[in-house]
Amino acid sequence: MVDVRAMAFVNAYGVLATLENLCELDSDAKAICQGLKEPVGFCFDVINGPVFTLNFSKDGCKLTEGDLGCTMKMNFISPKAFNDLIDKSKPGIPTKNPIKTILFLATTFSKLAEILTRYLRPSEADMKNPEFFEKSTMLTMYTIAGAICALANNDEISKISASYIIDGDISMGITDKMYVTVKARNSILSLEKKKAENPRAVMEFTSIELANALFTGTASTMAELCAGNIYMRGMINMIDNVNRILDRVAVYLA
Amino acid sequence: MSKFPEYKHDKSKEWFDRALAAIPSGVYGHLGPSEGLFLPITKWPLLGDRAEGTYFWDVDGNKYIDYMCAYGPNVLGYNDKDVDAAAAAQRKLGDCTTTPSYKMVECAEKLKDVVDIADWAFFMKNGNDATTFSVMCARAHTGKKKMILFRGYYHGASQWTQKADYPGVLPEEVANNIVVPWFDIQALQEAYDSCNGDIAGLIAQPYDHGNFFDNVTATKEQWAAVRKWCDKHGVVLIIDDVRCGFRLDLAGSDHYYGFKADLICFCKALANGYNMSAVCGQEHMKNAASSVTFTGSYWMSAVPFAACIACLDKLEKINAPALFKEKGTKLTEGLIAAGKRHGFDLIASGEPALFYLRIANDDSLMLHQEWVAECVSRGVFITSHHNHFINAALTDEDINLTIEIAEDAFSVVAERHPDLGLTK
Repeated sequence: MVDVRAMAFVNAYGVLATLENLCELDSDAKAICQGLKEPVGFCFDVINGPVFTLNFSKDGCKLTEGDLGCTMKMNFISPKAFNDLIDKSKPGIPTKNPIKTILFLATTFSKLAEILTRYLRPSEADMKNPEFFEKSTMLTMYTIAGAICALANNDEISKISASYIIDGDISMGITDKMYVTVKARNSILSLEKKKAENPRAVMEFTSIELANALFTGTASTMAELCAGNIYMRGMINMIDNVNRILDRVAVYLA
Repeated sequence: MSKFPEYKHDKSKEWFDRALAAIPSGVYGHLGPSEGLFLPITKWPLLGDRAEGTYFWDVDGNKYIDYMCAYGPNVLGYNDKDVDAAAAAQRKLGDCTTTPSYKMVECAEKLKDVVDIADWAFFMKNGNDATTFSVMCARAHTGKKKMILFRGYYHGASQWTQKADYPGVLPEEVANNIVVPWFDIQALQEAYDSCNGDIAGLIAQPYDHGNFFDNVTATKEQWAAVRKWCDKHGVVLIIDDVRCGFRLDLAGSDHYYGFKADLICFCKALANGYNMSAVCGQEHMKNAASSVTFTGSYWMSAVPFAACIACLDKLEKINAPALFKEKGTKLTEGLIAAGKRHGFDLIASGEPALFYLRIANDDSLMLHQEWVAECVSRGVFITSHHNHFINAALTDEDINLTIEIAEDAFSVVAERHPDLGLTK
């Protein structure tokens, strides 16, 4: 079962947070940011849901909590209304600089979202391009990692898994390509999009191809573990519980 | 330079590839590389060939001193001649038959004789059967719904024993489990009050022998307080002695900790590897046990009953719990000293008969996993996450060899990490 409120957090910290990485990895997205005349702080304010700001500048995109420093704001009356923005492109209610807000949403944001969708829901033809394949896989991993944290803190079943994760950092990554750190503190998970310095647990996929095959369900986790293509060590109970949340991510992002 | 050369596992790999093609996960569950945490998998034997005493040999012909004992069932030593002779004699007479053998009655009488609280015994095959039956008995006896479990519990693999976030488990299937911290009487009371007293039973292992952390033994006072609370509220107290049973105390681990359970579950050490489990109970639980519908195709097979009687006879004869304590203590003290000589802070916790090991130099178990892998790949089979098991066939020579190999493994890990300055 998918909980609408938890889905809103997945959309915020899993999907939209990946715009940060998109604006680094994709040249078109980067160009859109560099074309901005002035920095934009676009706040999404969801009643009974996430409140966060996507800060766009020539340097790229950065997500921050809350509405501090936002230049535009869009309110959503419920998590479902926010989810409708992602699923059906239905905007919320602009409450700060309304005209600029609508305009930005319809132009810049819309273009970036379109590029992101192309990577996260790729066509077979696009995936034949090795460069696209690699970026798509990396962006998918960022989305998944964000969704893991979002669900750990908001989905009732995932909260059970999170309650069994001891404090510490879990390093997840694709060897020599990308790393993220899932930080567990008092059963609350947060994400840092960089390699952990002192992880208590490590889970690493040895190639981009393997990571993609695991994300798309075309590879067997067990077979790859046994072949030594998935590298794990440390407090494996932390990884076990993250993997249980990962099962929930698949339900939410299906 | 390592004194003990590393084993190779080429045939293990070949067999495991065949297993993967024919069996989900190849080797699933606690004996497999995933739940068994074979890190890295190349250091571990994956399929076995034979076993004898305290040793087993893998398909590559490598020999291991076994401190997992098939995760408990090997209590007297693999292929114990007395147990095997009793089983072989019974096999000639009959095993899985329409009318159960009188051996079942003898076996129940033996358990009544050995186990402190046993006024009766009921038989099944696995630990999970025993815990599930006990929970059903508690509900049948009280007419109540919910069960209390202590945090970090493990009572088998049925849906009710898992958690709502496990694959294939519905929240409804675990909705009647209430989890509280170990020995927290206030939490027990709050759990009771939160469901208006609709508590059928409390099921717990004798002490907290969970995975990935130092095991925490119990005290008689803690159990006395729990027993008192259960009596006050009419809650059936079930001891899941599947793992510890007959290794701490032949009369039951409740007896070891100075209290009386209403029901006690046995499996692993019951018949030295012959497949059976049992629930023993006090008289007041007998009608409930009779009322519960619970049976299986092989549950009254006679060969395991014969093996069980012979096994319990021998455990009594050699005073096995005292032996296990002595050997476990000697082994762990030796391992700790060997670790110290190379700068490792090895901690042994839990009861010596079921010792748990952890290198505490880091908080991630990574050094510990390295050391365990080096031990395994040199012939000492231990795990990095789970408690271990002593069996009666383990000799002082085996213990000395274990310590020697473990010391070699310590030196290998220390040399691999010169930055840590471990080797003294």
